[in-house]
Amino acid sequence: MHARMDANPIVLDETAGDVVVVVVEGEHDIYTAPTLRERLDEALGRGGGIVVDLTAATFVDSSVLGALLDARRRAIEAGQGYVVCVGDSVEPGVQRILDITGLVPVLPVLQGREEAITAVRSTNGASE
Amino acid sequence: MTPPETANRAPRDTAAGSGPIRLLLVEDDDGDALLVEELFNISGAYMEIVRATTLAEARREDLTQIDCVLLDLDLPDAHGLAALHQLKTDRADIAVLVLTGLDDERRGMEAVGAGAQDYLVKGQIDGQGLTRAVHYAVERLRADEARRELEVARLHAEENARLERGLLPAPLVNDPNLVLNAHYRPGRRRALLGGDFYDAVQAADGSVHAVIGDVSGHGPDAAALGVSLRIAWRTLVIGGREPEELLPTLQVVHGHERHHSWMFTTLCMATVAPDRRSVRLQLAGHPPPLLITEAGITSLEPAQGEPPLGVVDDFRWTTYEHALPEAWSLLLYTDGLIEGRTGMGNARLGGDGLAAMVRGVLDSGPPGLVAALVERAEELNGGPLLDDVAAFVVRTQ
Repeated sequence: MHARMDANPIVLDETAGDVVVVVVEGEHDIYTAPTLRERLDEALGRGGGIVVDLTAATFVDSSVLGALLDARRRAIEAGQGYVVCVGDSVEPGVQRILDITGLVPVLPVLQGREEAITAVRSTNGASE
Repeated sequence: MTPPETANRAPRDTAAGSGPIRLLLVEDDDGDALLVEELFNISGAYMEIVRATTLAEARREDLTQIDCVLLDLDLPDAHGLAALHQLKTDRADIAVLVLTGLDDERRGMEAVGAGAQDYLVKGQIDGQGLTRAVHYAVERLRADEARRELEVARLHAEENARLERGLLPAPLVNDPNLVLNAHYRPGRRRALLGGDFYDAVQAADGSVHAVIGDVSGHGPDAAALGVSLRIAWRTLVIGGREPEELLPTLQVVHGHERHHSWMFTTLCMATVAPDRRSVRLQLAGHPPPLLITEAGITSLEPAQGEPPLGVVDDFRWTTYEHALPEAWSLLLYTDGLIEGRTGMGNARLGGDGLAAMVRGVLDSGPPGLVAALVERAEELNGGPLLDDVAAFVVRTQ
């Protein structure tokens, strides 16, 4: 279990100050979705904007999308900015499920962490 | 101050012969306590006795390490059944034998009614009787516990079977030229029924409507939502509603029936025209079906993916129409089928892998295509798939 967690970490990067980046790496499914939910809760608890960075994620399943959608809903309710981002090249195991579920415009998913942080800053605090 | 449930669930393993029975003797009268200890000594019982003179003292003991309590009903800090109630509150599944006086048998019986295993009348019991009573109390409690666990397991299995029947019905299609095969296999977490469902209905005009869906999450809530959606879908189709209206209506039902606001459902709906030469598809965040014909195997990709039910309010799903040749098979499936591993590094089966697998299975020509696919996917995965798998084939014959 320990090795698996090391290989597929989910960590908070708070170096951007007002925006917390939840960095999701490796493979994630129903076994790691509860950890992702915890990290997202933590990030929401900071009160600022949230970026979920899937650049280094190699596989996500529908339970991960469920966690991302749930966090998005709560961020919107609390008036916190929320954006998911991917890198220049997206792993097939991530791209495919984003394509099938049509969630790119919904979550939304942007390319590049910096772009995502900028986008979150512009929406953070904006009431619905 | 009830101790945590886990402590309650983990009584000491003192299967017969594996160690002494640990007995908590709650008795304020030193003479009576000595008598009890003597009786055990005489009978040669293998017993470890912990003594407490008050209820408070007894409660300071770690009750999870106690197999049986011998409880006097007249303690300085608790009179009558109060001590029994308190100990049972502290640990519901502890065996308690009550000690009563000669003139007090009635209270002993009341104690049994209140959860004591038995009562012993002081001065009337010998060493062997006492030892037997303790052994009996401990063993009976253990048997009760085993029976209760069995019953819970049985109810759980029945509940799953009931929900499974609700999720996976007999299709309502009576066209002799169409064959429908469905297959469902619960994921590795067998105990947690998922929310995969499918159904097929032939409408009055002869068109055949098929649906496969996957409620996010596992457990009774997901399964119950799956059943609700399937029944709602069937009702709308039988009621003659246009396919384009179905998903927006189902999404409203979804919003009312889901227990948690985070639940969502992916779904693929196919409507085969009465002449069987075209199919209309709608995909709500669901993997597209595979069309299998003599010309090859094609994934019927939408121009753009559209969201699952329960994510975007008032969404209108696009209908994609595909022409069909004379002979065809349409494979609808849930993502559990393509998320398994392939035995090559971290690679997952995926849609392309599934197409290749279908080709392999078709070549060997087994009659039960869906069951063969699921089996093959499990083989590649090197064991049962993580998620539930539902697959559903509609084909001409």
